Amino acid sequence: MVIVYPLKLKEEIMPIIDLKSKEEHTNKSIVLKQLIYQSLEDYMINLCANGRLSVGKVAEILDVSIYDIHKIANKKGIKLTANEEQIQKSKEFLDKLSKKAS
Amino acid sequence: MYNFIFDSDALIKLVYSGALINVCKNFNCIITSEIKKETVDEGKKRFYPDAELIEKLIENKLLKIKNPNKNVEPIKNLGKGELSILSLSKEVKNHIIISDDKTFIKELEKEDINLLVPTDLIVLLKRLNKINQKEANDYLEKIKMFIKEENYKKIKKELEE
Repeated sequence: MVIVYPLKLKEEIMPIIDLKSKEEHTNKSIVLKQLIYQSLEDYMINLCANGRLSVGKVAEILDVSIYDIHKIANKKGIKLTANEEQIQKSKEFLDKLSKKAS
Repeated sequence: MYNFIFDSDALIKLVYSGALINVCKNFNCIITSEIKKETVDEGKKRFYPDAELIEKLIENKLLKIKNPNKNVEPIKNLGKGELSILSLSKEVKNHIIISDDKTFIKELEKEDINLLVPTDLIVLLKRLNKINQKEANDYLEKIKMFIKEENYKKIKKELEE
């Protein structure tokens, strides 16, 4: 679903938006939207890294694949992985499992 | 025998490492249609070659698709794939969820569900002599880009013991 949201911007930034739109052969609304999405992407990858949103949820909201999320995180040098405590729990379960299996 | 249920994140990391085929050959591995959609369909649309590798494992029945009969209530910080895994875990006996997603694991911990992070499957294969030292090292080197340095070092040490 798409919504229309009113937004107040400082007059001084409009020439920059105008410049970017001319350089990229697009319109000013698209430039503004791109800038919003760019910072939304950064913000959401950080939420994911901090354990507040899952990788799947971030992919759904940004409308990209989970492969893309890892690519983006990798470019930013962020590892989307379990925390130390969770890794330790996994290790303890692995030890139990290995004993049973061997 | 345990049933390993994978989320998309874990599946993508393991296929990239090269370990997934050996994991699927040696254990009972399950995903849901939602996970297939996220890893195969969405991946193929964007030309990720690993998506086709996962599809082949499904075609060869090494990776089975099973869907829950009943869905859990939506949890706002989880995606559709993770929710489908959570639902399925309530219906499959002897299950272990394979995930490396901090947020998803927090939910699994609330329900006391057994879980393993993907790198521990490489260690498990090695401990059970299903792969040799070289294969284990190769998988670890490839999965390294997804994991933290300190975890990489710990696993490397463990694999060499």
